[in-house]
Amino acid sequence: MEHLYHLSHFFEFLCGAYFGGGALLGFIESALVLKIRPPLTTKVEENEKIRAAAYDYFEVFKNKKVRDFRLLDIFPLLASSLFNLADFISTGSLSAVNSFLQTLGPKGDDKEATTLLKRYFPTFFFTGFYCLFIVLFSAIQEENENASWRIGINWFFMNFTVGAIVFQVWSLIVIPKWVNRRNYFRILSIGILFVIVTAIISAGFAFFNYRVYYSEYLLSEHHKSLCQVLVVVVSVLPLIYLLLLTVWVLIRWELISTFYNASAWLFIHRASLAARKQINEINN
Amino acid sequence: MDKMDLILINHDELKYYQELVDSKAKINSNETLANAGQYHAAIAMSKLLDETKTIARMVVGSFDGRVSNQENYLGSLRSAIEKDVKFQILFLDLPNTNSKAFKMLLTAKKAGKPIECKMANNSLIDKLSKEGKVKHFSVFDNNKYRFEKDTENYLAWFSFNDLTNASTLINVFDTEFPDSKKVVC
Repeated sequence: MEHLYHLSHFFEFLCGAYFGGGALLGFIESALVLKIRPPLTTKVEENEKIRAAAYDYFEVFKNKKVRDFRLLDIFPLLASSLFNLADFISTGSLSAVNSFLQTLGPKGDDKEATTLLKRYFPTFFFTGFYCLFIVLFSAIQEENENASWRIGINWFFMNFTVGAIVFQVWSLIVIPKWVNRRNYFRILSIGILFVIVTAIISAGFAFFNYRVYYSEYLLSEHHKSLCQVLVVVVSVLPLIYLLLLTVWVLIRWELISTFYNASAWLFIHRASLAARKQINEINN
Repeated sequence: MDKMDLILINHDELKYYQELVDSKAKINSNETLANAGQYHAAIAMSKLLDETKTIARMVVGSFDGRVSNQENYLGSLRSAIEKDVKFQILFLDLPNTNSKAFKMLLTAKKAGKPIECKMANNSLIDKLSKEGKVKHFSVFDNNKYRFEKDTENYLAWFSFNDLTNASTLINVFDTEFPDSKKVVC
């Protein structure tokens, strides 16, 4: 645990980020509402238009006798398959992103609190304390050579880290769907209870010598780097989650647009050749 | 109303199709667009008529009313007539006298508007029926066209700015129209 002392500044920074999460999430939310929502609405309408056109292209293309099919006709059929695939994926994606964005922004009397803050407050709050405990306990260990204190803190911290992983997965995936004060009270009560129970168990192991050696084993010199990586990952998990969520939405969004545009291009390219050929046939 | 049209109406796609056609017309797009079903056909035809400045050459069936009785189509036809757009129309079948579009053309003709309607000769019908099914087409000015390859399902190609295809269709039309003798309006 004392190995983390030299990372104190990093964890102090994270503490600031998590406890100042309201400002951070408010900034993200404002950016989403102001910069993403209008173009999203336009893009949804553009895609609807392409969808309406694609349906007609496919109907006109497929209206052909089998003997008249040429190898190049595979392109509009391929475009149609790609389009339908993209359409299937995008219907859910677009409506999810759209309905998410529609929920953002101040509502009624609740002008100060943002929706993102409400959704991610528990995980930010919990992880902020996690980082604060790292700073405090690593400093205590650094200054205090007492073996029992050292073991107790190690125990507490290993249990706390394992619990933090469980809590974060829950708070990032499940809690955002339960946004209301009563649920927050329950969640925080469970969190505080968890910390107290962990502290008592850890103290028991440390002071009454009920040693199970995994904490000593994991916190040995040999596993120092592994533990540091684990703690750092847990401490930045909410930020990584939000980052990955954003990247995932953007990649999915771009892929869908590419699918739409590629299918539309294939349709239009083949349509102009097909129309020219059919019109020339009546003139010959 | 066929299954395809029901799907289109139920999914609010008419609105998006209309917006797509409007946006292509606005930029004078040279893309070849597709057109399926009677409601999309009426949208395409009415926009092409809206964009027409001098002349509309049309090879039609009988004006059975499934497209030509639709409000947007009639509105655009009325506007074009009021703008003194010249209409030259070849009918492949005897005109439907109950058709609102046909009645409008008759009234306009009596009012002195530049409208000519004739029955197509067999030579044109043969040209348009090479693959068994007869085709219809319309050319607007010298760059806009709609070519209906399947008249039962209203499956067509159209463009707001394709000089090559439009001139090919004008050649076909202008070869046949003067030789068609039977005047119907």
